[in-house]
Amino acid sequence: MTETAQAESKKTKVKTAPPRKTKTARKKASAQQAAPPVQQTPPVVTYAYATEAARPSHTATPLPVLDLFEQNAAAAPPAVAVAFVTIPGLDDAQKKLSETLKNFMERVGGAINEAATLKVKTYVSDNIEGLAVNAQGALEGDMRLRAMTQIDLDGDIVAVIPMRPDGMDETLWAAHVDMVKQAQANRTELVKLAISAVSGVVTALKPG
Amino acid sequence: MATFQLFERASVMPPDVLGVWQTAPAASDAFGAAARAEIPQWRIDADASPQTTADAFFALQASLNATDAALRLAQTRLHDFVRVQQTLPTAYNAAAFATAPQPEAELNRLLLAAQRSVAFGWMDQIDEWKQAIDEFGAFVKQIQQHALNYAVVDTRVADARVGLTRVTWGGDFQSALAAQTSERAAHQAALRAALESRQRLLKQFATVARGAGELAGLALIAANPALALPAALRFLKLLFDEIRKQN
Repeated sequence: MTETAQAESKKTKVKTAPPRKTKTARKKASAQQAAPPVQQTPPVVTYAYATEAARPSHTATPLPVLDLFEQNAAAAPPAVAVAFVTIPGLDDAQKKLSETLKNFMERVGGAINEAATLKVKTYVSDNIEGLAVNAQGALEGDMRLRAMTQIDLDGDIVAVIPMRPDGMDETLWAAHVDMVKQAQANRTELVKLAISAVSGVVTALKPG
Repeated sequence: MATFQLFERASVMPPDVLGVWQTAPAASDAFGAAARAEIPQWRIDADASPQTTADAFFALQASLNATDAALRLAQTRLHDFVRVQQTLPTAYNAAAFATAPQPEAELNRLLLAAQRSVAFGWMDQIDEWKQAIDEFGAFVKQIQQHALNYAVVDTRVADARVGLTRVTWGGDFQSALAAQTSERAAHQAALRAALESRQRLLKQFATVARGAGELAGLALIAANPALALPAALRFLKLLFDEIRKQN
């Protein structure tokens, strides 16, 4: 089977049957039919099946992602000015602390706003001991990209699935999917914690 | 027996209260550039025996749960401390806290020192405040290093690397897995453990900030809110010591 044929055969597998509607859902649906249509752009899910490179195909299945992040990102903290009543002998230490906190708050606010897409890339290496981490934190060395998932804030998803001549590399794909789940959970939690930390500092330093 | 090592430049607070993660300032040669760029590295060396490795991960999870409990306890005890301070006549203060647990007693001593400094210009204990403020500054830098930077998770099983992942602040992953290995699950478990531990560091910061908000109810702190954060951190640090001694 050629790669394209494999891709086509896999593409059919990702389609799922629509869920059965409950009575309430049917009522809602009929009410919605009566109402004028609302202009809405559904998130796009793009799957690509390939051995080493992506071959995108399109479906229109919406997946809810990062809703919480979107809500939280909107609540990114404003810059905070810290004022002190100085205690004799502590002026310098307090000034330094004020600067450190200001810098921290600005960086957290910026980082929350910047995290707009989530990208998970999984490589395989025959010489993993030889890999190094450069000053930017990126992995360097002999490795091949085998799976990739990108989730945008608006819900668009691009996925590259690892294939072998005899079919999908199930083990690697399972490991990759687990990492995608971890990445999503980690991001949601980090954003929540960052907002909680910053709002805590703002409350603590708010003049009484 | 699996070991959990965290290489980081500044280490004021450990990720877990019971100290399963061993913190160290230096990194291995392969990460020289990363170390210079102050990228924290979480390294897990697992045993060849799956049972021993599972036990080690279980011990880490228990310590992370204990950390969550310690953070909740810190919040409660700080709240109670402030209530006692607000209701207790000043004359009884020293006597009341003489038999208090160390975190409360130390916090009370720090507050008295600051009060004396403001009221009478006494400078004898001001160095302790300087130390507490510097310590808090270092803690902010530690959190900044972890929460706003990359992290590298390096997993080894029986001395052979099975997975390496770079995680960005926003949660992007770049992972490399060994081609010939049946130990990929070990790296997934290690990654989960490292990320959860990183979250605990940020939780500690959030707890210190909320605790500082509690302390803001005190007159001295209300007049000088900058003292609340170092004081809350000192309290949490002593509470962690107390819990570690009890275990």
